[in-house]
Amino acid sequence: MKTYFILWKAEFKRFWTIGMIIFAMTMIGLGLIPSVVMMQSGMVKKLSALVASADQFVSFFTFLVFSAGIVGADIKNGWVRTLLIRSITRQQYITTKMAVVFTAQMTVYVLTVAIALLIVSFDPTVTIMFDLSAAMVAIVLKCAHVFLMIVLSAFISCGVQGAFNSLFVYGWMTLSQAMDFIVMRKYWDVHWAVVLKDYIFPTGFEDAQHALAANMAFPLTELLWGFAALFIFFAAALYAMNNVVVDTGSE
Amino acid sequence: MNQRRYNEIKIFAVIGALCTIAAAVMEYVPSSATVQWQPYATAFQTAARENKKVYVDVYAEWCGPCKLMDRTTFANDTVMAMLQNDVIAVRVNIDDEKIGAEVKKKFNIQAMPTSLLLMPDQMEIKRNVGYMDGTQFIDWIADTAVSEFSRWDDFPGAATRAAAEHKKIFIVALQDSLKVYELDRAFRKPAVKRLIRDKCIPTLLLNNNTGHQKFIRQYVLLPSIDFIGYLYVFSPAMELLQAVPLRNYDGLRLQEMVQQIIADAEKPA
Repeated sequence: MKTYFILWKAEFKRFWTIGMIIFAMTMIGLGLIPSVVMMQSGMVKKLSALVASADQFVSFFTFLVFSAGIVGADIKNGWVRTLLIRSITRQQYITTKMAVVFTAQMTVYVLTVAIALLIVSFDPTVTIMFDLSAAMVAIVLKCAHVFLMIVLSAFISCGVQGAFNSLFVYGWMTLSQAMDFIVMRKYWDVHWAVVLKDYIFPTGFEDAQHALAANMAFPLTELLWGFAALFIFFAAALYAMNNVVVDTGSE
Repeated sequence: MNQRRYNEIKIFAVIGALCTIAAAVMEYVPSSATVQWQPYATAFQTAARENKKVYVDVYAEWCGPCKLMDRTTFANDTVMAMLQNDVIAVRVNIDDEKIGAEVKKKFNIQAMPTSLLLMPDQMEIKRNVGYMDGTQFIDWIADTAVSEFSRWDDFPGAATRAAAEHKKIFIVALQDSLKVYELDRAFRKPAVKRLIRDKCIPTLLLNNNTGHQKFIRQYVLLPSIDFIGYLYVFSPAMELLQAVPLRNYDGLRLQEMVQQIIADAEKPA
């Protein structure tokens, strides 16, 4: 555990370059605008709705930049080799790496929510209902979705060079949305197409969050799909990392 | 060392596989909904006899949101009661070669699930494509199937009551039933309802209703197709006092129009 923490600290310091700090601050600024506007216009009246939608316009972009080359870049620049010859296991490395990106993503998210709340607290016309239990559920599902995306990105990064993992995830997600658009408009009565389109990209936790926000019944199926994707891609990421060829000599 | 690593990977993979199986099973759990669906073939006759609208749920066995509606919306007690009491509820499987194909063609179904609300003569009142949760569904049905107009007197009855109560007759004459549901929200505004009911006996005439056509021909102008309809105020002796064409029907404008037409009808000729 101590090794994990030391490694996390080292990776955290490496992650936050000046460029990353400026990018994160820009994303917080951009995320704040819709959050504050939605609260002031009355579209968002509950804390749970705010935490569910706070960084919706920037979260995917933040994720793409933060997780770009999460493993691939370190393989290329020799950092993985440096760690592995210092008795750090591959599992420790990749888990810590995912944790660092997760922390960074959640930092941007939490700051967006906190600053948005601080800004509207000065506006007497805005009233926000603090439904803490619903907000907590929304935050947990948000965390789970973000972590799933990072695991997915890390898995792909083990197999592709540099920042291409982000492009790959972006392409995958775009393909899923395009399929959804085409199937729902043209092939909505083709059985296999309708079933397939729901499983092209893993969005179980996000779907569960939407279901709860819309007052639907407990989204057990969506949560199970989310956990299924999380565990399978986590296992795949560990397996892929174990098979990355790094010349460590005495590993 | 390597074996330990692979064992951990196997554990994660097995948990993932178990979750996948559980989710897949859950996805295909049969519906426990107990809505009493009526047969499509006789639904419209029943609706005409009971003076109700027909709700048609167009679904497919392979449609995810349809199954979700079964598990959530149609399992909601209020929804079940509404479908039982307020409308004639019908369900059509789009893959059914006879009825499914007929409904798909007739109502131009383009996605699933599609919810249709129909008049007994099969005229479409409105449709919703996609999932609706319990609350949305209740609003969607209540909005139209239990409309303000359904509480108004029928025409000959309204005239008799107006004479007995020395009130004026407020007639909304519209081109067709679709307009009724577009206007319903505006007529349900408390201010509009109060205005009409304090001074008048309201009634509705529809140009596409064969029963209403004879009254339209006898008493009012046949609504021009340039307008969605007319608002009329008659004296209890059926003398025309006011007539205003309806072009747009946003709530605020309608309130002003109703206020104006009733005030003008009050003035001496």
